[in-house]
Amino acid sequence: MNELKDTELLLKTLEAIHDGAVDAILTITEWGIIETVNSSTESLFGYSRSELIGSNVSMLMPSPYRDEHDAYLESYRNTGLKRIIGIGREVVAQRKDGTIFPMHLAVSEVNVGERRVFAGFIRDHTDLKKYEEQQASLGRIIEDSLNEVFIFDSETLYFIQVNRGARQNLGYTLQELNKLTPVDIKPEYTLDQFRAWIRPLLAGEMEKLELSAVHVRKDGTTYDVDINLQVSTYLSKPVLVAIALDVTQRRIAERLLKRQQEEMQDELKRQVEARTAELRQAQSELVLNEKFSMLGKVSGGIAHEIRNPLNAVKTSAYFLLNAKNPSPEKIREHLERIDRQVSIADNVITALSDVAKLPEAERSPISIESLIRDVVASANIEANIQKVFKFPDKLPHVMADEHQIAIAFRNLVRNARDAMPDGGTLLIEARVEGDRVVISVIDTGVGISEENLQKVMDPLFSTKARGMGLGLSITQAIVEKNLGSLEVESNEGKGSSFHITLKSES
Amino acid sequence: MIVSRMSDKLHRILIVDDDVDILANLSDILGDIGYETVTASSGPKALEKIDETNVSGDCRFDLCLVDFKMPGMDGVELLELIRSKQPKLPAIMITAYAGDDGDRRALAAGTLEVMKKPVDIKALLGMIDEAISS
Repeated sequence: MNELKDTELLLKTLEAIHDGAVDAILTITEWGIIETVNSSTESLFGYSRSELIGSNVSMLMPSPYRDEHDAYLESYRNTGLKRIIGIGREVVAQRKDGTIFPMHLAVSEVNVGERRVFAGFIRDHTDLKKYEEQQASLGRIIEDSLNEVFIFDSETLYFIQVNRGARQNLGYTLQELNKLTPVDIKPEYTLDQFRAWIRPLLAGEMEKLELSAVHVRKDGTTYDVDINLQVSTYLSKPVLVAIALDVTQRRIAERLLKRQQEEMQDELKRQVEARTAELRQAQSELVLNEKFSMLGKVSGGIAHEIRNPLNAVKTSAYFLLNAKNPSPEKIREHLERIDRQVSIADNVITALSDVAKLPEAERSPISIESLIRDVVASANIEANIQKVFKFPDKLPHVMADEHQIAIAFRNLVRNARDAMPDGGTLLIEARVEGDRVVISVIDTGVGISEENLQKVMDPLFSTKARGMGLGLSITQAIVEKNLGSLEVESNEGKGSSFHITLKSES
Repeated sequence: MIVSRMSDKLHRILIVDDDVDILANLSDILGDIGYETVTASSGPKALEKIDETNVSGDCRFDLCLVDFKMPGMDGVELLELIRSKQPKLPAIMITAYAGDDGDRRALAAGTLEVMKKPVDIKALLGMIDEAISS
């Protein structure tokens, strides 16, 4: 009972499986005549069950297989040589509407009682084929890509797949590469460094890593690459996919560009330096010319200032030697003149040495009023010049080198005198300003033009017939050595004012 | 040696120099050998002296000795003005400068000779004598 029930159940189950199967299942006789089909067979081929059963199975095949199928069967019957049975393979089939499609066919040989039948299990491979073709194309595209594509194991790091572009550039076969890791072609990395670098990628913290690196070929030569690295799966395994672009040419171009830029900069720098050197040269020539011109002025000035007293000395000497019966007074007058003119010449030389080496000021408290009165008294000021002194009572002593500051004031007083050949007023006044005393020497003379006002302190500048133009520059130097200051203001045609400021005795 | 005078006629010489010592010396030397001298310490003063002689008509100068560098009007400027008053007055320029520029200007203004300081007196006297007698 139970056995019967079990058989019934099995039959029902098999029937259900047979009809409900996704795959088309059919059986044929040894001679190729279809005996059974399931529903999937009908829907796959577009024939009805009645059309199929009793027909030769070759109806489901396109030419030339359709015509050859009977011969296959005959050959099997005769030789027993299995070409498909128990193996299964990819074949093509033809629907009732004539379309041809790929399918997977598995054939098993079954004995039903005394009879031998063949059962065919057919799976439509249209979609799979398409997918495989796409995959193949994609694979070919990757394989043929000029980019270098590396697939390597995310754990062992061994290369699994490397495309042709990379293999050719590196000079390794795939078999060789299967035993290498990225570190083997990136010697600047250690395995630990590389693992550390890809960790964020494997941890899912980053989608992509970018890297500029150097690849080493099998022959030891190197090339520059820009690499993009991503996680992917290959044959169900997590892998890393690196796409590397050989940027050697680009780097060469970049280096060339950089070198050209550097060369250009160097050239520019060189030109600037050359120009600067030229300017320096020109400048030093100018300075030299300036020095020569100064030397010329100095020698001209010295010549003039020395020749005038020499002329006086020489003419007096001539008179003394040649005069007929000169009176004793005349003789004395000429001797005195010689003496005076020699002093004048000596003063010129002293003035020159003063400029060359002005001694350090030995400052001590001095009464500026008595010093100035002495200076004015010895300045041979003509009667047509009125002398006015305005000194406040209890003027403090100033700190100055008495000898030097006397020279400074004598120069100012002489200038004032010379500025008033037709007479005028020489006003000398002093006033206290904080811890300083300002002494002004003011004349009502010819004044100084605005143009010349800039130059009056320059050595060798003079508008006088006599003198080398050293007076004011010496005065200024002296005042500075005595920690004071000298200022000038002037109104052309109305007169000039010179102000010397000196520190009071504290 | 005193240069002897060929003529007995009293010759008048105008000496212009801003250095009073030079004026005195030249005046003494020329006076000692018989010239009459008039001195002026500047260009304007020299022109005044010339104007005075023109007003009186007589006792015109026979020669002038002029210093080149003087305050205000220099020797060349003075000579140019003298030319307008007394075109034929012989002039000798005395200069302490070694430059050629002053010489050219002086000669252009009608100077007979430019003498350098310190002056060779004998040469100067010879030149004065020659200038006056010709």
